[in-house]
Order: sequence, then structure tokens, then C-alpha cells
Amino acid sequence: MVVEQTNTTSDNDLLAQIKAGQSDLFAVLYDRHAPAVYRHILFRCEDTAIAEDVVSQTFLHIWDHIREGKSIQSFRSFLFQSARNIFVDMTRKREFKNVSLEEILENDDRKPVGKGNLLEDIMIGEEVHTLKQALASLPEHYKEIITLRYLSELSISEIAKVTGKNSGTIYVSLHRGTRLLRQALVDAQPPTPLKTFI
Amino acid sequence: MKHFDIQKSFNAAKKAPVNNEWQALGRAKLVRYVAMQPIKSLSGVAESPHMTFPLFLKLKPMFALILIAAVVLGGGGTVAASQNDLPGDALYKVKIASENITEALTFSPGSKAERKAEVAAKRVNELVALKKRDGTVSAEAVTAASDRYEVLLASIDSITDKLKPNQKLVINPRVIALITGSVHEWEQIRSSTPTSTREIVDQVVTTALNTELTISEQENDAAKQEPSLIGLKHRAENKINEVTRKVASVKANFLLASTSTTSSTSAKMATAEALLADAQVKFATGTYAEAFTLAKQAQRAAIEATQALHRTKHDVDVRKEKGDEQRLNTNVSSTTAAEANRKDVEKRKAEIEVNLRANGKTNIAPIQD
Repeated sequence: MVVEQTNTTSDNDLLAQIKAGQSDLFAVLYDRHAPAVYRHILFRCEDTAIAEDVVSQTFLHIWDHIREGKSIQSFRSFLFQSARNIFVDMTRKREFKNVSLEEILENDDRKPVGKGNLLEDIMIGEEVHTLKQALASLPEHYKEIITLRYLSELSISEIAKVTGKNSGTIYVSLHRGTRLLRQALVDAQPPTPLKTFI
Repeated sequence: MKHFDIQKSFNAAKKAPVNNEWQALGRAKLVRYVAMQPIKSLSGVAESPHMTFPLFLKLKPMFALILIAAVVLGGGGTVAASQNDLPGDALYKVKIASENITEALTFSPGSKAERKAEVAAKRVNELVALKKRDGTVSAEAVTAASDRYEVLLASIDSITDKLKPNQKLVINPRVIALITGSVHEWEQIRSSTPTSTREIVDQVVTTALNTELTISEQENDAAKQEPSLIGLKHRAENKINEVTRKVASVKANFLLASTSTTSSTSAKMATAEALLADAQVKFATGTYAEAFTLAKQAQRAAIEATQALHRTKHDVDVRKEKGDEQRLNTNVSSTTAAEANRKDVEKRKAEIEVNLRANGKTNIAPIQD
């Protein structure tokens, strides 16, 4: 079946078939990667409208790139690199500041993520909330690399292509960033009550 | 010390749901976009978009239109070639079609409102470009542009009305800035069009000013619902900057006006400037809430000054037209009377000559005037 074949076909093979004339396969790439880009942008800005726009603009940009005959060596790297640039442009135009810790704390009526089981939704919401609080205390370049690695699951070389830095720098930044993040998560925990000895 | 598994912490974030309806809609629109703009190396027409221009020039207009329709329906690289086209040019319809597709692929209401405001401003820019290129703008081009512009304004108004308060505080100022800019360009068009077309321009400017006022009121209502102190300084600063631009634009419109401003227009403008100055003083002292309120009042006064200026210009044009008509009628009457008088004199002379001849006095020289 065509659907099964496209599900197992790699991104590069799909790109080759698209360039050969099967432009309808571009929608397969959209189905495969749009949710990941959406979650990445949403995690960074907490604005569904911006996340939706960035996704649609990103895929338009990629299609224009393909139809111009330009090559794409790594689709995922190019995808996240494009999304990153579009997000920066869009938020710069809107004088948008990344959600600060202060604003996170002030936003009392945040809706929990997920749908379905309310208790699970609340727990997921709390966990993500804690994670974001901890991430917010990190420098921006650590935040971006950590999110690309752990949320969007990009490889080190892919992250290097997205950010324009070399792999060695990414390794070091990732190591330092995760150490700071762990410390921030520890600091966010309530203090353990002291045991009293009678 | 508790050890945190970073990956496990992020696994919860990966469960954030994606709106299936949005994803399906985005997919469908992307598929249409891809169909409209095929890969260049595979499309014979798209291969050399610049060559299509000489081709069109040689074709008869009807055939050119049919070919344009085929490109729009079947896709092609002429979309890129059409972007600099102006009303009346061969690929202008392709340009409009591609704008509509891009707009359809904008999902968030806020972005849609901004995009529509940008497209509306583009319609007026095209008229300014036409004037520069051809030296004149036809009544047909002005009418078509104003129709499209007004439809866009109505759409923008309905979209911004439905935005959430925090979205209005971001989107509405940007939309207002775009409308302010386009009103200034309409004023430029007005000053260089024949009197008959000015009424069309006056009508569209009135609509634009009313829309600006409405969207400004929406923003003000939203600000009341979002009294968070964190954003108040930012909002006051944005509002003051927005109104400063508005006041500068209105002053520029005054300069463009060939008629002198009335006392009411000047008074409104003076009020706007005074309120703006007060807002800046309040901002400097850190009283952001008052600064925002004063800036809002200044904005309203500036918009009312523009409305008053427009009414004045319209009235002057109407009086001028009536004055020209009266002078024309007077000239016509004078001419007719003079002609009638001359004929009367000729008749009288002829009668006198007949009488003289009848009385045998034929040697008398003809009556001289």
C-alpha cells in the first residue's frame, strides 16, 4: 500500500521522489513533522497562534526552497532551522518577549495540556510547568539546545546545523546546560522536612 | 540529592496535544499551494518566467486572459513574476490570487488581521506607484482599489473584534499603524486626482478613519480587562509611540491639503498634541496608567482632526464645483443677451433703412453703429 510505503520511507528518499515529480508526497513530510515543530515552538512561546503560524510558514518556505531546485541535505535540520528563523522574525515583529518566569508565575488560570483524563492532564501540566520554570532560569542558548535535544530529539549534528555552531560546542553547551537544568529542578523541589528524634 | 532524568521530564512535554482540525486544514491548504506552484524544472511555463512577458505582449488581450486563468488554475512560476504588477497589468490577477492563497494559509486570527491590513496598504501603494509610472491614476483604478480596500477594512474590523484581550493589545496597534499609513497615501492620491474621483477617495478615507477609531476602542476596552502591571509600562510606551506617529501623519496631511484648515480642525490638532505631551510627561514620571489614558485621548483627538479636515476639503470641493457652475451659467447668459441685443440692433437698423427708402431718402448713408 502507498501509505505503508511512505510511512517507512526516509525523509531523504521522500525528498528525492518529490523533486522527481511526486509533489503530493510533500504532504507526507508535513504529516510526519508538523506536530514536532508545533510542540517545539509552543514550548518556547506558549502561544498556540504563533506555533500554528510558524508551522504553516515553515512548510511554505521549505516548499519554495524545493521548487527553486535548491538542495536539502538533512530535512529535519533544515526544518527546525527554518522554523527557528521564522519564529525569531515573527516574535521580533511583535516585540514579543519570551515568557518570563514572572509571567509564568502570574498566569494563574493556565489550562492544563492534554485532553481526556483530567487528573493525568493536571499532572502533565504540573510537570511541564515545573520544567519550564527551571528552563526559564537558563541562558537562552542553553534553553534552545536542550529543547532541540530532549523535546524534538535532534541529534548533535542536526542541532549543530540548526544553530550554525560546531558539534563540539553543542556537546559542551548541552553538558553545561543539563547540569544547570538539573540544579534548577532540584532547587524547585519543596524542602524535605527534618526528621525529629525524640 | 535527587537526580533528575531530564529526558523523562521532557516526555511529559511531548504529550502536548496538537489540534487535529488545525493540522488537517493546514495539510489541505498546503496541498493546494503545492499544486499552484509546481517545481520549476518540471514546469515548461515556469522554467523561464521572465519570458512570459514578451509572450503576453504579442497575444491578443482575450487570449492573454485565458492563459492567465490557466496559470492561476494550473499553477506556474508566473506568480513570482506578477508581484510587481500594478492594476491593469497583464498578471495583476495572478498577483491577487497568490495573495489570497497566502492569506488562506494564515491561521491565527491576529496574523490574519495583520496580513489583511498589509494587503490593504498594498492596494493604496499600487495607486501611488501607478501615479509615479503613468503620471495619472484613472477613476477606474481608484474605484477598484477603494472597493477592495473597504472590503478588507470590514473584514479586519470583524476579526479584531473577536480577538482575546491580550491579542488585541498586540495586534490592534499594528493594524492601526498600517491603516494610518494608508490614510496618508490616500491623501496623496486625492491631491492628484480629478475632482470627480475625490469623492470616492473621501468615502474610503472616512471608512478608514472610522475603522481606526473602532479598532482603537477595542484596544482600549482590552486594556481595561488586562490591568497587569507587568505589561502596563510596555503598553503605555507603545500607545505613546503609536500616537506620536499618528500626529505626525495628520500634520503631514494638513500640509498636503490645498485648502487652509478650519479653526475646529486646528483646535482638535492642538488638543491632540497637548494630550500627547501630557502623556509623555506622565510616562517619564512612571505614572503609566495615566500616560496610557492620556495617549488614548490624544489618539481620538488626532483621528477627529483628520475627519474634520476631510469634511473641510470635501465642502471646499463642493463649493468650488458650484462656484464654477455659477460662473459658467453667468457667462452663458451674458453671451445670449449680447447676441440678442445685437440682433435687435440689426433689425432696428434694417427697419429704419426701409423707412428711409420708402420716404425717398435713398442717398442717406447706411446707419453706422
